[in-house]
Parts: sequence; structure tokens; C-alpha cells
Amino acid sequence: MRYLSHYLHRQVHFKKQHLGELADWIMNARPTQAELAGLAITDNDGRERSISLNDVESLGHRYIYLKRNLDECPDLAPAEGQIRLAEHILDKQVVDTRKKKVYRVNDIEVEQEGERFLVRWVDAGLAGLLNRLGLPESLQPKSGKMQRRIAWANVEPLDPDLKSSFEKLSKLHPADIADIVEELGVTQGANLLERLDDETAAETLTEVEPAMQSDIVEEIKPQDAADIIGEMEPDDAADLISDLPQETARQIMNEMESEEKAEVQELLQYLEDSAGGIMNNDYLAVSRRQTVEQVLNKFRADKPEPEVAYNLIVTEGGEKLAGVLSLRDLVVALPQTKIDDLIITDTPTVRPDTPLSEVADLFSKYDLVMLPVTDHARQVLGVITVDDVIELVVPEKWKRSHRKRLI
Amino acid sequence: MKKLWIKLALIFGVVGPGLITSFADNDAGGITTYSIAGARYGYSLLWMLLLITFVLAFFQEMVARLAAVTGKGLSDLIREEFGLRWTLFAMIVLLVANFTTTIANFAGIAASLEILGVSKYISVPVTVLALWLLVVKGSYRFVERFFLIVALFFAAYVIAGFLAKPDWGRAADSLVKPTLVWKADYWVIFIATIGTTITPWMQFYLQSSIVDKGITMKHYGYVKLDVFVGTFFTNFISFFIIVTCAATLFKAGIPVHNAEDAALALAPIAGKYSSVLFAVGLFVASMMAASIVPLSTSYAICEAFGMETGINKNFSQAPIFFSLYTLLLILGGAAILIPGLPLIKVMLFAQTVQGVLLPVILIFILLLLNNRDVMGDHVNSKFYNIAALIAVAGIVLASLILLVLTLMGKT
Repeated sequence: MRYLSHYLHRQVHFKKQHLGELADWIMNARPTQAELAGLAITDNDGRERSISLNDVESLGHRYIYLKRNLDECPDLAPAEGQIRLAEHILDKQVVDTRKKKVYRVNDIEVEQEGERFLVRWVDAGLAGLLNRLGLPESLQPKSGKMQRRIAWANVEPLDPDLKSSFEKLSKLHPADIADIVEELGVTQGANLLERLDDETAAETLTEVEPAMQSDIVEEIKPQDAADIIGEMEPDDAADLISDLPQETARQIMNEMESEEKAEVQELLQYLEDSAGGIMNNDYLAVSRRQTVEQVLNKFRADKPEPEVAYNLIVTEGGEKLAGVLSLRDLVVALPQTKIDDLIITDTPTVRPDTPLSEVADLFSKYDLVMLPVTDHARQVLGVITVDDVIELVVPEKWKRSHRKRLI
Repeated sequence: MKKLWIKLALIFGVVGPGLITSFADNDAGGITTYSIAGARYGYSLLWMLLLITFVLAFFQEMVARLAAVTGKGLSDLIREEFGLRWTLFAMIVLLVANFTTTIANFAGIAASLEILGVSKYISVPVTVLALWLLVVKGSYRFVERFFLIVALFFAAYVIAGFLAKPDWGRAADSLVKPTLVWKADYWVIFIATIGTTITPWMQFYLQSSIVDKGITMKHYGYVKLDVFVGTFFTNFISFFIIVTCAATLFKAGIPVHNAEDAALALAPIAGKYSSVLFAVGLFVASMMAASIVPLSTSYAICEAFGMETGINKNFSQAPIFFSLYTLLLILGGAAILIPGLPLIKVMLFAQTVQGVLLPVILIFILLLLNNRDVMGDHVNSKFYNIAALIAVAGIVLASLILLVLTLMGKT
């Protein structure tokens, strides 16, 4: 088995002539494998040149021979998806998307397969470390806990110089990405979020512990932050914005789209520890006079977020609450059935100033997944969904992140 | 009204790393070094303290800036920018410096409790066990509170300083008037004073605590304030230690050979309580540093080599982190139990080692602060670099003078 470190700084020759030393491996990196495309060579004058693998006669771990003189080799054109192993991966942090953790790369295992050179594994364990420091192979630990190899298919580089799209990382659950963000800390976490697409970034940010959320948002440019926060659930967005320093909050609100901004602003007026503070005003409301078919069509058109989709709000005379409708009853009913025949009218409701403990009790007592929040005239103000209630009742200790440490 | 409240909350949220780092800096070695400086050379080394205050503020500001810009630990940055071999070198330097410091702090624990009549064969094993339990079994919150309460005890020195009724006029005068003595012993104290005031571990510790608090350039104004206030405080306390010993021991011509001397000698002159105060101060300071220094070493080394860290983890989740901490505590404590070990010489030696190794770490820091890839627009200005280089050169020069004088036998 060969490591990248065996090749770096080796002499580059053409015939008997010494041309320089190997500085880096330039790879065509795809999600599942990374293949050598060319070499970066520091020539005798100290300048760096990139050449194609086609100009390499042989690539040994003692000497590297070229097919022609360095001056005659054309420059290797930079291409999309190209990465440099020593510059972007070695000694840097990467995410293991299978273990969902951040590791530091000690060395990189490379393999020759016919004419091709491939990266199969990245080493983040003690074995790679000792090897890198020049410990003879016979003395290196062979097995067990000392080894930590990450298959290239699971490696997501984090180097900020690399304009990667986080193809592998984005596939993780946002809660797992949030753990990684917390592990990386504010500056690097913000950096990572900025490079995710807005929707993934929003879901991830929602899952990051609140104390860190606002620190991260402050690190992101107001426009980008507004795009991300705009994708969040309005109640989560309002919580986050109320935690920000006034000036930052104002800047971000200014950048937000008017509809999202209005939803957030409406929620900002409620106290954080009341029903109003955790309710969501982005929900689907239908009229009791409609039919099942009409409602299903509206459902298809509006595509409500899963949190608010299990129960629908049924209104009468504008915004007045008539009852709730379960998605299950809606789906099993015949298309021409009137909503009026399906609604549950004795559903409990709360006022925006109802204390959270009471809200949690109602959810538990009636096995609710959604609870309407109304004013004194039974006008619907928003809904509280079960995911927000779970946040309330899960003990603080569970949520406290492992990020906290002494120094 | 709300705005002011938020502002205050922000200040308290950010202020802390600099302050705690500074308090932990006045550890056993520091207290001993300052005591000896005061006892042997009276007020005459105070000018050094003033000079060092500026140098310290200067370097702590740079480290704080590095932390706020990059959001990464110092060992992470050394690893990413200089590669594995240089990291190994830096970590060995840190380990040597910190291990001697840990020994020095157990010497401080032993010495302070001997003043209060407890044998070191009891005090050292008990405190090793206590510190081990604190970190391995204790929670994050508990450990943090422990340190904050301990930090309050530093007031003891200020009280002792006033009880000793020093000559304030001469003290103020010496603060601004440099004097030099061409004896190796003087230079040992000189370098030990540098070594104890600016330490390699502080740089790593301060950087990590700023990163951990999630402090970024947005709050940099407060960070700077915190660092400067912290620097002022640490040297404010050092000033009182030197002045106390100058007013009592130096005036009475009592040479200090060990910490008991320093504490007991104070009794007839400054009243019996000042020696108890001295002992209590020395004890809590040593306890704090005897835990923080090994802990920060474990963090730095594990981060450099990409191993699990964190006191909220357990032994099997972060085996190397906890093993390193345990090992440093046990070996540090065991060294003190060697019969007939001259505790004060050990403490002084530790400071000298730190003083000699310090430039290595400072050069890494300077290189990082001049790297535009790392610092962006916050790279060091030319003025900063020149001043920093003069400081590093001064520290190296002092180390060389010490070496030459020792070789010539001029003690």
C-alpha cells in the first residue's frame, strides 16, 4: 500500500536530468473516486508547474520520470472538479459522511491500477500519522482502534478554498449536518452553511443549537442570511431573528422577501415563552363549504410543509376557526364529500399568551399533532405543531451539545 | 433600556477568555518567581514587569485576532499551514514546557500546604486525585464555576500587599527606571519573569477559549478590551507580589530559598495573616494552573493530530485526550514526591524552560499573522511586526545572556 506522503517531494527527472520535485497530485475528483490527472512540480527555480499525467513516463515513490523536458510539457488546464491532494486534503479537515463526523487527514492511500492512480482511502488514524512521521512499516499498528480509514466515496473536503458543492454532505439529514456545524464552530460553520443550497442551509440552521445560531448568522452576509432565514419555518425564523442584535436583525429583515418578512414580523410580537412564541403562521386553511376534491387540489397546489400537513385548519366566514381536518380522513373520503361532514369541531385551541406548559399538557392529553392558536373572536392566528412541542419537553440535558468544553 | 442590557450581556459574553487566561497565568511558578524577584532585588525588577505588560498585551492581542478571524485553534492552524513535522516539533516544545509547568504547580501545591502544616506526601496525591476527578468525572459547568471561584482568591495578594506597607514612592519610581545587574542569578530571575508572564500554553489556551466562545471579528472590540483588561490584571497582581516581598523580605535582608521561607518570613514583618494569605493564594493559584495547563496540553496535542477531545466526553470516547491529561497529572505529581527535591528551584527552572521555549511558539504565531491566506485583511501591520520581532529578539537575547553567564560561572 502506498501513501501520498511517499511521493511528495520526490525528485522529478527527465533522462538523467534533475528537473525539480513533486509538489502535489492533481486529481479529477468525482463523488465515488478520485483519479490522478496530473502533477504539480516545483522546478529548480522554485516555480510551480502543472503537467498532465500524459507527460509522465513513470511515477515511482523514489523518482518520477517525465517523457520530455519540463519546458516542453504544456500546462495542465484547470478543470471543474479538480482538487489537489496535498493542498486541499492532506492535514485538512474532512467530513466522513458515513460516520457523520469531522476528521483531520493524516495521509492519503493511493493505489495503482494499470496506468491509473486512484485514491481509495483517506487516513485519519494513528497508523497514517506514524507512517507520515517515518516510522518503519513493521512498527506500525496494523489493526483495531489505531486505524481510521475513510473510503473516498464518503469523504467530503471542507477546505474553504475549494469551491465544492458538498454533493455528499448535502445528502445527510440536516440534523446531522447541524452536528457537524456545531463541531466546526462559528466561523467554519458559517462558511459551510453559506456553501449549502438555501433550503438545506435553512433546515440545518434550524437544527443548530440556538446559542450558536445567532452567532453563525452574524457571520453570514445579510443578503445570504436573509435567503437562508426566508427558507426557515416562520416560527423558527422569528425565534432566530429575535435573538440577533437589533442592527443585524434589521439588515436581514430588509433583505427578506415581503411575504416571508410579513409572516416573521407577525410572529415577532409574541413572547418567546408563550403559545404565540412557538406557533407557525404558514399553514393550510380550507373552508368548511368545500369538497374533498377541492381541498385535495388545493393541497396539491400549495404543497404545505410536512409539519403542518397532517391536520388542516377549517375556517368559516373568513378566518374564523370551524375545526380541524385530518389528512387521513381527507384521503380516505370520497371526492364529493363535503368537508363539513369530516371536520372535528371539538378540537382544543389556545390563545397566543397561553403558557407553554399548558400547551404541552394539551398535546399530551389529546395526543395532538397540531393545535390551532386563536384570538378572543376565534380568528386563527397560527398553529402549533408537535415538532415544536417536542423541543419543549425534551430535557435540556439531552440537547446540550457535545461542543461545549472547558477551553 | 433594552439596548443597554443587550450591550452589557454582550460584554459579559465576550469578556472572559482573556481574563481567565490571565488569572491562570499567575500560577505557582509565577508567584514564586515574583516573590524571589522582590526578595532578592527589591523594587528594582519592576520596570521589567511594566515592559512585559506591554509585550504580553501585544502578543495576546495577536493571538486573539488570530482566533477571531480563523475560528480555529492554534494547533489546528500550525498543522494546516506548516504540515505535520512542524506540528510535531511545536507540540514537543509545548509538551516539554507544559510538563515542567505542571511539575512547578504541584511544587506550589506542596509548598503552600506545607506552610499550613500538611506533608507533601499527603497533599500531592490527594490533589492529583481531586483534579483528575474534577475533569474526568465532573461536568463542564462545574469545572467552569470552580475556576471562576478560584480566580476570586487572587485578591489575597492585593490584601497582602497593602498589609506589608511598602514604599509606594520607590515602587512607582522603579517601575519606570530600568536597572540591570550583571549576575547570572539576576538573569535567571529576569528570564523566569518573562517565562512566567508570557507562556507557550497561554497562547494555545487563549486561542481555544476564544474559538470556543464563538467569538468572531464582529465582536473584536470587546475581545481586545478583554485581553487588555486581563493583561492589566495579571500584572497588577504580579506587581503586588513583588512589592510585598520587596517591602518585607528584601528590606529585612532575608534570602528566599523555598516557598516556606517566603511565606513564613512575612509573618513577623507583615503580621501572621499575611503568611496564611500567601499560602492560600499560592495554593489556589497552583490548583487552577495544575489543572488548566495539562488540560490545555491535551486539547492542543489531540487537536493537532486530529484526535477526539472534550471533557464532556468519557474515557472511551476520547481515550488519548484523557490519558494524556491523566499522565501529565500523575507524572507531574510523582516528580514532586522525590525526597529532597528543592521545590523552589524546580519552579524557577520551569519558568526558565518556558522563557527559552517561548520564542519558538511566538515565531509560529508571527508567521501565521503575516499569512494573508489565513488572516485576510487582518494581517499584521508593519509596525506590529517590527515591535513583535524586537520583543522576540529581546527574549532570545536574554536567554543567550543567561546561557553565557551560567557557562562563565557568574552566579
